Amino acid sequence: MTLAVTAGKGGVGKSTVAYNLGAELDAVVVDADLGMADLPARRGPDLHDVLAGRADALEAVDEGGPVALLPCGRSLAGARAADVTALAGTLDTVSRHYGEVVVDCPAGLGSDAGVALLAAEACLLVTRPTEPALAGSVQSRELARVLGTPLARVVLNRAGEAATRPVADALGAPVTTVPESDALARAQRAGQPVGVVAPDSQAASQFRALADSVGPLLDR
Amino acid sequence: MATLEANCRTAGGVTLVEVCVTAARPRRVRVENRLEGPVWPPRSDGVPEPGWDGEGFEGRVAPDDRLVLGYASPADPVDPPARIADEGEPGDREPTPQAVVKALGRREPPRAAMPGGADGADSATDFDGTCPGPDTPTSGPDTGPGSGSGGSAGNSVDAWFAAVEGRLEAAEDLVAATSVEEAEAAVERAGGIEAVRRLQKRVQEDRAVLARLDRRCSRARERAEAVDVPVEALARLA
Repeated sequence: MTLAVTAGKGGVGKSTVAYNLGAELDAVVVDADLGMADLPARRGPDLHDVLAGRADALEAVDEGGPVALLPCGRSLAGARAADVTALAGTLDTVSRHYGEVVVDCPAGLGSDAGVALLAAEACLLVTRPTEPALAGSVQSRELARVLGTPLARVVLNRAGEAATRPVADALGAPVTTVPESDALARAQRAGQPVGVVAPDSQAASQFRALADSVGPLLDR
Repeated sequence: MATLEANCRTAGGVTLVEVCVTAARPRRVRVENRLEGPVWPPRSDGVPEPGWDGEGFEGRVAPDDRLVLGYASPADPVDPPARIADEGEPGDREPTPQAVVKALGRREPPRAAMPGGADGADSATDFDGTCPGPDTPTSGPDTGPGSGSGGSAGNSVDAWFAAVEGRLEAAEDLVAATSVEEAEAAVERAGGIEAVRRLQKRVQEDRAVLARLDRRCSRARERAEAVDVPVEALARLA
């Protein structure tokens, strides 16, 4: 199954959620943010190459890190050469081979976000308890609805439980919060999932809860 | 042609609607609410079931798989409470990646944003763009020896060469055709005769830029071979 992690606007922690959720689900994380890749890259073929027909999807998956990752290139030329319509087939190929795939989508309502949502069986919407973030989330939820991709859950990042109810009401989906966390920041700096760096932290336990919650919903 | 039967009843101030759609062959149907109020669709874990939206439901019906739906609304009952608003062949309205890109627009960086304005590696078959060549000042004189060699200037040169080589491959493909059929196929691959004319023009421009570049490379090579920085002497002075 393929799970798209999307957001109405950038900077809300979407890539962090995709990476840590990928670690908990033992999934391949695909960095599909074609114009603004965020997840760690390494030498070798990347998603730009795959979407330009220069590399095979499976040879671009890097299994060497703490989380299996299909990274994305960072050059403008690469982003320009990438054929976004090929993303659906790429995700399908990776999903057939590896099983679980978590896609770090571009934020917003562009066609790259749309194709990733279309290819996914369900989506997660990452947001923050701020007005601009929530307004963007409503639009992203609408895009997912039009494309027929069910919203499995909302992840309210850097927030406490108090903010959960109004967000759940506004977006019409259950909410998991991820607290502001030193452990998570430390894990980010180390290029590791928080579940590895600080397994007893609250952030790690929230990502475990998130993974537990999306599993059954996706199996429906 | 699908057939809809619908009825409703009131319970606790809410109208509950039951819908059954049947069809003699597989059909895509859109069922819309006729009550003068919002649709409250069935939900799981707070999420509307797949296929539901604010006005109704869209899904499939087959001879051996009738479509049974139920929803609620705060509006008063009317008869019939729902109707088939649209129907068609199954899959005829399924979105495709191509349709998504068409509807939402391409999200590629504009040509003007490319390093040095060079068109990217995709230009192998794109003969329309401007082609400044790698001798356009892409990074300026501030790209000093300490600024690394694998940065955007390198990418820009690589992308430009990839584009030139792509055009040459396309041109060679046209030259290699030895029969009418092959020529027709080659012209089609190149995007039509107008694209071939543009290709020829671009290859001529490439020829001029490559010649200029060749001269510049020769001069740079001669200078590189002639210069030898006296590092040890400078280190003693510093």
